[in-house]
Amino acid sequence: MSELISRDVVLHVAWLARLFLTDEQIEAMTKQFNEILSYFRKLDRVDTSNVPLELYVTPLKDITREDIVEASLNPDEALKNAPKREGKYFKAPKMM
Amino acid sequence: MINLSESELIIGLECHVQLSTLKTKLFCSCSADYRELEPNTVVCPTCLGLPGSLPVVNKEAINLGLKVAKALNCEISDKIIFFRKNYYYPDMPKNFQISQYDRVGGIPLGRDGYVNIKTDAGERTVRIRRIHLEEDPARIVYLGSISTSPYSLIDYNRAGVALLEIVTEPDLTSDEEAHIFLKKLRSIVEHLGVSDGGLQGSMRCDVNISLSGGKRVEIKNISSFKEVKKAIKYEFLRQKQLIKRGVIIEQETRHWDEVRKTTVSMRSKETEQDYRYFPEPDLVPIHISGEWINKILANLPELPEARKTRLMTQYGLPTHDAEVLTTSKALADFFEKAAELYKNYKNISNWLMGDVLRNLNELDIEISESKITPELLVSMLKLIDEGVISGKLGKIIIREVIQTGRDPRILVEEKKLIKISSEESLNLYITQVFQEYPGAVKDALKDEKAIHYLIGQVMKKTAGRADPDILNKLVRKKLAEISSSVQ
Amino acid sequence: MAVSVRQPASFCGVVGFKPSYGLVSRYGLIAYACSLDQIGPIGKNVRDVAILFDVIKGYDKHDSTSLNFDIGSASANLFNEIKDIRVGVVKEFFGEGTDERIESTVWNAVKRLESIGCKYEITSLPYLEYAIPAYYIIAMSEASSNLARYDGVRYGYRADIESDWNDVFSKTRQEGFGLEVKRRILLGTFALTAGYIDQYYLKALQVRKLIQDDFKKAFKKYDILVGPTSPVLPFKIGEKISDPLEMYRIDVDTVPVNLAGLPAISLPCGVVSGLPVGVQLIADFKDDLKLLNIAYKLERELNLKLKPRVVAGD
Repeated sequence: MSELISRDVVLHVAWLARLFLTDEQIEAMTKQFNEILSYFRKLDRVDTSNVPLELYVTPLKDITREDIVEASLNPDEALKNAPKREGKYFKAPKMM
Repeated sequence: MINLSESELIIGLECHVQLSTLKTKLFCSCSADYRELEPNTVVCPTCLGLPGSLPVVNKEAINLGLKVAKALNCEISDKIIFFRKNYYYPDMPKNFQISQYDRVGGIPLGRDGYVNIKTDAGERTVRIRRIHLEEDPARIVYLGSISTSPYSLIDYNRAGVALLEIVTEPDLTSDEEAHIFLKKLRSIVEHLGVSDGGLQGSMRCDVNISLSGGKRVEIKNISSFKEVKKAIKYEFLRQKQLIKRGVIIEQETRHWDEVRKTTVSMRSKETEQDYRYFPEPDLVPIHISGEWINKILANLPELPEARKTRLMTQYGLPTHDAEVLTTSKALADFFEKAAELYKNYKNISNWLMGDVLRNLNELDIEISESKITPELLVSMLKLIDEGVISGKLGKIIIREVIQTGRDPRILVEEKKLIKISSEESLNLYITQVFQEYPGAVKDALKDEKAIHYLIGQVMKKTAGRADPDILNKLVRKKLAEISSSVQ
Repeated sequence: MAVSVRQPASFCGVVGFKPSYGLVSRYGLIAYACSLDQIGPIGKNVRDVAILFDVIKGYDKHDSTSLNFDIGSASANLFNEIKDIRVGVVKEFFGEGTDERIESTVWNAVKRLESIGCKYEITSLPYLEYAIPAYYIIAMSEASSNLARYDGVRYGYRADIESDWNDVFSKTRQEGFGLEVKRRILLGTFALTAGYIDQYYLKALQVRKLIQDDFKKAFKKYDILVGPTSPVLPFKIGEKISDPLEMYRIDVDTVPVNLAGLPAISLPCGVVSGLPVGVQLIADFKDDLKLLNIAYKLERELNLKLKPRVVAGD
């Protein structure tokens, strides 16, 4: 089977997804990627050149709401599940 | 202003304008009025990105977006489609942002518009590439600056507030031009009533800069239009230094460190093509009918250009005055309120454009942040007209009015600043000066120029309060008396 | 997950019903693939399912995809008489890889439809052949985005390391997600990546449209479509986890309905080697009441007395 996706692409995707894999995992994943994707490429057989790009499955449209304020959560409730907090803030890791 | 003699600078802007006149956020019914609140008090499952929560579009946000698109001469799309922009940052509650996109079946709310700006070099057209709606990220609080803070504190009150992203073509060539454009944009959105630029962080900007045809560097996180100028200047000098040393500028994203006034490279380097945009499946398309657009057009308020023309015809102001006054809605409003109370329009304009703006600049505040009101300015102008104070004194007390908001009449009384125009009082000062400077008196009898020295001394003694015309007359009269008595 | 109502119901010998997309609010449902997810009841029989459906259905302003449309009471509608029902037996549902014993069990049920006033014929929806890849590409793409919120800042698990945002976020995902979830996130991320999105995600959307059109055409001729719920008999927990593709293929009969947002129900129709077999009935969009009505009649006609059998676990 010819390779659809190289190890480098899998590495890049893993970086985009922030899922860092060990060397063995990358090897295994590259193999699986190729198996699964070549199955997915079955879609190549479908001629879609005249099929409009329909972004939605639902026939609904024009669903909006009015600009009216409703109650927010109470702050203790909002922060209750935070793994780390400081005062009334959620505490996240440093950025750099 | 940057000297461009040696480098060609190209600037494109991505402006983020908060639709601050909305009552609620873009996709939930939390109050959008998040400023000066305790952290995390206007949040709900949707704007916190809790599992199971869903977005519902605020119709009024689309309405305001359409207004701006029309005011910026954009083509309007016939439907609104939201896309997900995928990237991970703790200010994004879902780790994707609901935004709009112009590819893979997407279309921005507005596209291909323009804004005309007036620069020293003349009229220029800045093209608008696109305008779209998106949600504001949360606010991150750092201990010190982003690069040194040992952790980040997140306040999601701002998360989900409606933002309008306005992207220009790279049509700007200096920090000054960028500033003029941003001021114009602000005036437009304020006149439309969609945003209050005076609110902290309501207008932010990312800047794309390239130098001498080099690669484009994006500077993110500039929290006010004032900072934009500083960031451009810094980045320009940084890149110029590198080019001088033979370094090739790489395409990258940098972060504006507001505390240290530098740009810092961002480690994570997702680019536009890494965002994996796809249509937001939790929302449905919204069609923009011709009827909707017509309603917008019919209710479009007066914009700065039109107001400028009206100020010229209605108040007889020169082009330049009308131009300057309409750079800010607050300033133009101030002028027109004052004009209801006081009929010498040009005089109001002169004071606003001159001493008021100069003082505001020096104090680094906006007219809306200052304490001066149209009533107070007019009160002062009347004091001058009535001859109670001199124009020179007016220049002194205006600063105090701006800072304290106190009535000029009271200030004048308290400081005993009232002009001395009684001949009796002035003669007492004159006699005193003539006794103190007999040599000067002698000179003055022969030399016209020396008279001014004597007048100056009296002015000094009265702390500038002497009525200059009467004083002049009395000094000459006194000299004439001496001259005739000597003969 | 989207197919986790009908297939588990079929494997367990109970009734599972997936309503039309938008009839049950997704507000409160932890999203896997928003455009495919639909909450549906599982119950001992069609009537229980209809009663539960009556409780959970209805318009919700918090879900923009919620249908603002009252279809009426499903449980009251069950007892309606049915006649002249046109049934399409979908050829593709009996395709390659379908267990022959399941095929014959389902056919027996199909034939019984005649006794309750239905007429059937064999029909074909050619694009169903492509449902699995289209479904998985869309599901994985949406899931890769939906699962990004689990960063351990506002709630949930957070890796216990002192480092910067990028490291903590990755480590949290590394430790918090299982292997199959990671695989789907990676494939979904890939399918949306610039350079590949045309071949995968956008292509899948187009194929989805073709499948939807296939159904539309079929429902001009038929009131309901039928076939097996699963091509294979129930298998042991963890048995297929090492072969993801094999695992995905088992969804061949259930996912087409999700792609088109249609209502479908699985009900037990027999037993093979002591394991239950389910028959799937599918109706047109918003024809949920008609579907439940027919399913109820078929259930009565089949009159299966399935008894749970306790077997020793491994």
